[in-house]
Amino acid sequence: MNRHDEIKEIMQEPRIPERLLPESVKKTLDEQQAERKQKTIRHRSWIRWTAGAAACTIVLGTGGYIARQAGNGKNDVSEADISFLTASVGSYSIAAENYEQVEALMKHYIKENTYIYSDEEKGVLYGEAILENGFVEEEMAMEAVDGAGETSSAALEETITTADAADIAEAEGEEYSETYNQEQGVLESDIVLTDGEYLYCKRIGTEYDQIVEIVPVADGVFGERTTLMIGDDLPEIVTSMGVHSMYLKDGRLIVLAEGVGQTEDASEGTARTYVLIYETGAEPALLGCYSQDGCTSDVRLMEDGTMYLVTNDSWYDTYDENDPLYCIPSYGCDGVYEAAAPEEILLPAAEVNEETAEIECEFSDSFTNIGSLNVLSDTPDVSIDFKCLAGFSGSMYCSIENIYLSSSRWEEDGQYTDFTRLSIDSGSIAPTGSASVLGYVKDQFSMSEYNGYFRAAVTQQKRTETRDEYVASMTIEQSSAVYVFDSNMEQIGALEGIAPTETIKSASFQSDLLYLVTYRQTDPLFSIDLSDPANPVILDEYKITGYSTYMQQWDENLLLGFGIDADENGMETGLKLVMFDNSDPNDLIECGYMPIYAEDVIPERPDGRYLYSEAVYERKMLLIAPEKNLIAVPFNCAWVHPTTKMYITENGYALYSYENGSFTQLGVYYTEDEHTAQRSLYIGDYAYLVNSGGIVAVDLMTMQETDRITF
Amino acid sequence: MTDFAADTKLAQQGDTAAFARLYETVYQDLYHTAYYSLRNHEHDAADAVSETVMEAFASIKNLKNPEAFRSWIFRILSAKIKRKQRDYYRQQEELTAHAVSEDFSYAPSELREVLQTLSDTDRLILSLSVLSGYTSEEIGRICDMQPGTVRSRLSRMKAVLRVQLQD
Repeated sequence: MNRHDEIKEIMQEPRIPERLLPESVKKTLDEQQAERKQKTIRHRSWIRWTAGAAACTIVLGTGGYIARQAGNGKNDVSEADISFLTASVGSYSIAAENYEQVEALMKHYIKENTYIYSDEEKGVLYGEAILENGFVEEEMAMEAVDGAGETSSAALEETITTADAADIAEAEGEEYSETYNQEQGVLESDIVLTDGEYLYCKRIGTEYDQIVEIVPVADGVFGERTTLMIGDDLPEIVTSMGVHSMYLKDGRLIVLAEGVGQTEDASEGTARTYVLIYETGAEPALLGCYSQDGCTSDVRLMEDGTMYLVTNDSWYDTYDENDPLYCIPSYGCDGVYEAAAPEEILLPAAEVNEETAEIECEFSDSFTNIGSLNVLSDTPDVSIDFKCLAGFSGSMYCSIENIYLSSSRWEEDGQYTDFTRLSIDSGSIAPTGSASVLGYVKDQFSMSEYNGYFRAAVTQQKRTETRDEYVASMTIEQSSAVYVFDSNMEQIGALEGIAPTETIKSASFQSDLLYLVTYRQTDPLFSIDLSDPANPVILDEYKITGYSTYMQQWDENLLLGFGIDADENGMETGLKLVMFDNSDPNDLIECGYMPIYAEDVIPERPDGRYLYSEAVYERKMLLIAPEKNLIAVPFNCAWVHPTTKMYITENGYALYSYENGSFTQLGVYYTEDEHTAQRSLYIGDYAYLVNSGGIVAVDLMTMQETDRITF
Repeated sequence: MTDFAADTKLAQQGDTAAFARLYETVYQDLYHTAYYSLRNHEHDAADAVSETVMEAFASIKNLKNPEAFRSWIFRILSAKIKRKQRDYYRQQEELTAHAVSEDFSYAPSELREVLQTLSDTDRLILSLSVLSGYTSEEIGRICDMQPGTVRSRLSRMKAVLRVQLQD
């Protein structure tokens, strides 16, 4: 019997207590009903958390609806009149004319989504549970957490041509690895970086979150390190502060940090993202600090120094009815903030519901803020442009010309994703289109723009209800699909029904081709031809066990996959590296397979081992350097201590090379115990394996450890 | 089979019989999730479910999507469970395990023991995954956790228990 069923059976053993049987519950409810029949209760909407972090569709009434509400005398409806939205019917977003419109939207949202408890209800009906926690706060937390999840798990797949794999060789000095970018010229941030002379490492852990360690290195030997305390350089008091990620570009170190900026008397705080710009070196000098409201969602840097920062900013928890404009997003530099002007705030798209004739729009408890600046200019912390959109945004894809924001929305027949396109040019940001599809994108690599077409690969769950008089049943059909949109964001091509019942595990768009890994028990790798945007076609399908969570082109003809290995029954057995020959997308060929199991990385511990790798969720943790013929895979391997019977975790990196159809394990290096693996990189002929507790240097010629530093 | 749409509508109007029909579709899983997550404390598990039911009935008026009834009520249960877990004196944060046999496979009795060694949060995640078949994204929504955290916890448990769990 399958272990899964066995566990399920064990869990299902306990007998259900009498008082929980449906008939007993009904009786209790009936008695309670009788007790409180006099009460009239208004409930706040619960739908939000069943719908998760998606922007919740709310129905904003027109005249008739408002008139009805006016009857109860509870709300000042004239202030919440959103009939001005009639103007944005059919438009994805137009700018607000004044703050009153924004205020009206917020008031409407609050009216629709707030439940006010009477004192009596507080005690009697709900016990302490809801009120102590405060669902409002919980939702906020959830949005923040979801956002973080998107960022941290954003990753696993890749899109590229081999050319951008290595922008490495600097004119002078040794070549070194750089963060791998989805699009050439659109740089992505990371937490460990090098300029060939220093390693810049963000520390991890509550007390270290605001620290960047700067470690000089030469030929595999570490010098004296400098600890940069980012908090000291912020223009105001910031609590719960942590470094998000960094860039190194043309002699400047750019650090993104987030935290709660306090007012002078520390009475109020606003979640902000700070961009600190330094000159690089052993003692970085601060050049300036830009900041905007909200937690970091994602960021991109162009070669010319233009940075686009996207933050998710929930207004709901700071809303003050006496000062509604307090929660209008603000931005500025060196601690001086200015609220976004009305014309920088985009109204949500609206449409008229045909049945009810009411205006419907999407407005949620958070804004998505997009700010731009040029971090390489003489005024690196000065804002160039700023736009504020209604709603929470998830994964973001960015080409040289456009930012595509995705956000999820739950409807009766499944989860939808809305894409918003903003054109970007030298810092200016303008919304230029939107589209919507059934399904969800896994992360940034499931989206791509090529030759003016936007393509998205989604996993879909179609929910259909079938009805037979009284009885209804719901069926969920899962499969994947690829959609192609033209320059007007009109859908012009679709390939649906790919791999029924399976989920997209990784995607890699390469010009007119898409490589897609879906999974349930085995791993079909599809090659899909998108050269005719209106007619995407599956060219080939290659099935192996397990699945790749990340794919990156290794050289002209080879596509590298990293992921989970599994046996033919779908039982996951460990990690794997796999190489495909994709020189002919019509005929994919496997040409190299390396299972990575516990016994491969800690052979000396025979008992009770298990292995996993965070790189399954964060592609930036893998070092893939074809120019060095080097692949580094971080692992956590646990084994059972023979006497204490406790699990002990060993962390480290396993290094591999690839040649003539097979992988070779070059060596296994343990990093500091009980610390999270972070990133690995190389400078010249040395690899540097970083975890949150220190760094190990390895000579790539001899594969011997040359030095080790502990933070 | 339950007609969720019709029964939700009735329950929203205060029909306890309709609510009981909806409840009937989930109560076993609710109890077993609570029982396992609360370290086999029968009374606490029963209390958690019963509080959940009362709260659910009082607020079902706002359940707009009847198909979401199940994840909605599990979300309420999860808040109750976490509240009670906080009260427990002993918290086992990290995954520990009993001795395992040479070939790293548990006999049924061993499996039972190992299940008891999981931390509170892991218990909740595992029971939601096994009993209800939720994906890590859904569990993340139910438990207020990052889907990534759920996934990595599931994969650790998966490795320890040598079992295939959906993530």
